[in-house]
Amino acid sequence: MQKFGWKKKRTSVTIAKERLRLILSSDRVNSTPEYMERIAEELFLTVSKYIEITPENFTVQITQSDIHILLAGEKK
Amino acid sequence: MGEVIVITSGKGGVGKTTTTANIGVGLAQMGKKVIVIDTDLGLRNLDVVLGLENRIVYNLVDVITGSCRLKQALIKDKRYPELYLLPSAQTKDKSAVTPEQMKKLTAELKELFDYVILDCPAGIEQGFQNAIAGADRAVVVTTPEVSAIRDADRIIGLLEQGGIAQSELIINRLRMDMVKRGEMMSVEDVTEILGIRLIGVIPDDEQVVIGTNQGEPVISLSSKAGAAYKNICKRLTGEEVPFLNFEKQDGLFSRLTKVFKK
Repeated sequence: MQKFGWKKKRTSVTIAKERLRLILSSDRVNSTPEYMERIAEELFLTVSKYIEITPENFTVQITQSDIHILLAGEKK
Repeated sequence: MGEVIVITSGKGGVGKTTTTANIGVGLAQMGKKVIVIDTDLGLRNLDVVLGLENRIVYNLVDVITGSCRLKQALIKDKRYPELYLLPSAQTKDKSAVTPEQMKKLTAELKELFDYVILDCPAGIEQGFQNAIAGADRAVVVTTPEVSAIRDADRIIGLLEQGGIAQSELIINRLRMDMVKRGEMMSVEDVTEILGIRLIGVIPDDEQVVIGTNQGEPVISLSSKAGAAYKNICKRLTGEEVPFLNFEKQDGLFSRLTKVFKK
C-alpha cells in the first residue's frame, strides 16, 4: 500500500527529471556560447541593482555546479 | 508551393523512419501530393518500412549527381497514389551529398509536391546537416527516456542555429501504465523539459512492429499508433485535433490543449 506521508515517494521519474535538469543545463551552456552570454547579461543586470559595476570588471564563470561572479577593480 | 518538413531526433531508433513513413501515407490519404525522402546514406530504411524495397532502381545520390532524372528515381506507391518515395543509397556514405545540393533538390521538389518529408539520419554530423538544409519545418521525435530527451534537446538547439526557429515535438512509445506508476516520464514532463510545441503522442504499440514486418505502415492497420499518426497528419495541415483519451490524466487534457494551441 502506498504511504501518503509528509515525504513524497521518490520514483525513478523523479530521479530522471533531476538528472535531466542538470544534464541539459550543462549541455546548453557548453554548446551555445550565446546562452552563456545571455546568462552573464542577466546576472549583470541583477547584480548591478545592488552593486555598482561596469561590464569591464564583471565576469561570470559557470563550472560543474557553481557560479562564480568575479568583480575586479575598486570597491565602492 | 509545398512545405519541406524534416523528421529528426538526434537519438537513433526513436521512430523517425516510422514517423516519416506514416506521416507520408497519412497525408497522401488526405489527398496531398507527398514525397518522402530517405537521407540516411549507407543505411537505407524508409523503403523497408514502406514495403517498397523491391521497387528501387535509382536513389537520392543518383539524382543529385545527375546519373538519372528525378522521375526515374521516384517510386510511386501503388497502395497510396499520391505518395512517392525517393530512396537512399545503400552503398554510398554521408559525404556523397552536400547541404547545398539538398537545398537545391528540395527547392525543386517544393514546386512539384504539397509536402516534401525528409527522414533524417541519427546524429549531428553531415547527414543531419544535409537533411535540414532545405527544410521549412522540423518535427523532433523523442521517447520519454533520459538519453532520447537529452539528444532531442541538443537537436532543437542545432535546428535553431540552422534557421528553423520553431520545431514541433512528437513523443513516441509512451506507456501510460508506466507513467501512472511513476516509472516513465509523462507527456507533460517531456514537453516542459524540451519547451517546444507538441504535435503528437504515439503509444507503444505492437502493431508498429507487425506493420514493419509486413511492409505495411501502421497507419493503415487498425491500431492506437495508427490513430495517433492520423491525428498528427491533421495537425500538420493546421487542423486542431484534441489529443486522444489514453493521454488524458486528470486535468492534463486542458493543459495539453493549451500547449498545443498557438
